Amino acid sequence: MATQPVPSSSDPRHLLATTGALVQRVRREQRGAWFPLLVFAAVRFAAAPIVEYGQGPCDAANGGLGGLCVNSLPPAMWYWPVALLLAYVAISWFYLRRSAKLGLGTRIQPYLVLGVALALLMAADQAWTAAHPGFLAELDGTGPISVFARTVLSPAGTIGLALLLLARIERSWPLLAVTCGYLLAMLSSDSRPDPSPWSFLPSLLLEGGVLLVGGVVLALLHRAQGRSAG
Amino acid sequence: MTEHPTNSLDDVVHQRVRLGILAVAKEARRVEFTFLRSTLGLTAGNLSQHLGVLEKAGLVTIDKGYEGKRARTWVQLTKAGKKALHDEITTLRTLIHQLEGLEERDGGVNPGSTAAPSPG
Repeated sequence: MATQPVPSSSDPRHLLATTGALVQRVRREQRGAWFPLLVFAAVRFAAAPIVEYGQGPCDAANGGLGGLCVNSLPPAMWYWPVALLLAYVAISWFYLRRSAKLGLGTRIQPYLVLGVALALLMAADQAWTAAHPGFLAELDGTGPISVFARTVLSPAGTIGLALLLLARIERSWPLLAVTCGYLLAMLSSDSRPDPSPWSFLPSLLLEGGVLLVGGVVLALLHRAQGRSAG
Repeated sequence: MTEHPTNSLDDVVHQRVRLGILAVAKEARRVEFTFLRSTLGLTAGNLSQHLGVLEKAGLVTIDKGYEGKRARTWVQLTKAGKKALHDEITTLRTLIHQLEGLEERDGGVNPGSTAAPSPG
């Protein structure tokens, strides 16, 4: 019977292989992006009735950027900044709890900092637009600068851009795919004008649906990997 | 004449367990003693010895504290540790490259050839 040589513990190939396997395991254990995806899906679904019916009196002639009334400060205007900040608090809590449970401190701070910064930027833009109707109205076009500005300053865009960074931090291709799908859904839903009172439904179902399905798939994937590793 | 890559190997890092500790610590902001122990399959005493060597060489820092009533020991990679890990991986890859070149030249088999995922 032929015998295979047993690699010594200092054999370079063996050392690299075992180190690589360790690294993959640690990366896998740290991944928890399913939670932010599910949180943002809930935030997105909850936004629909609040933003749609919580606008208060609105002068259609002065209808504002991003579907917000700009001639008043209705309660719905505060939904996104407050909801996003609360979402990031929940996500911080989740990762801190996981970190303590696993004994592995995840490098999640850059994601949280970017997410909160974008949420604050979006809130500042909304407040500024409310106080100065028509300011930067030229950004409401279809050019690349307009699309970029709308993406960065929109609630859905802030979520998507921060998720891109999370995909980099967690080195997760599935999360990158979900985020790209979400950003594409967001950009395509913006380009479909519809005067009906249910016009918010397609974008709600598409954006919220991508986040919800993505979150569920990533959670199942994480669970399956945990079972096969354990 | 170029220096042989084995001369670049650091005795502190060129060891399965210590290389594993550095690789795990690089992937996280900080890593707890018990996680390292279970991941690397070591006894507490053995892991403590290896951590002591790495700490003495300035490659990791060790912080002891409490979370609630539970004692915790956190290990964190230093800049020197990150560089040492990077240098070790580079040297190992160079060695493998040279070994494969030799094996191809001799027309021999490639014993124990294993695909190694990038730790960096």
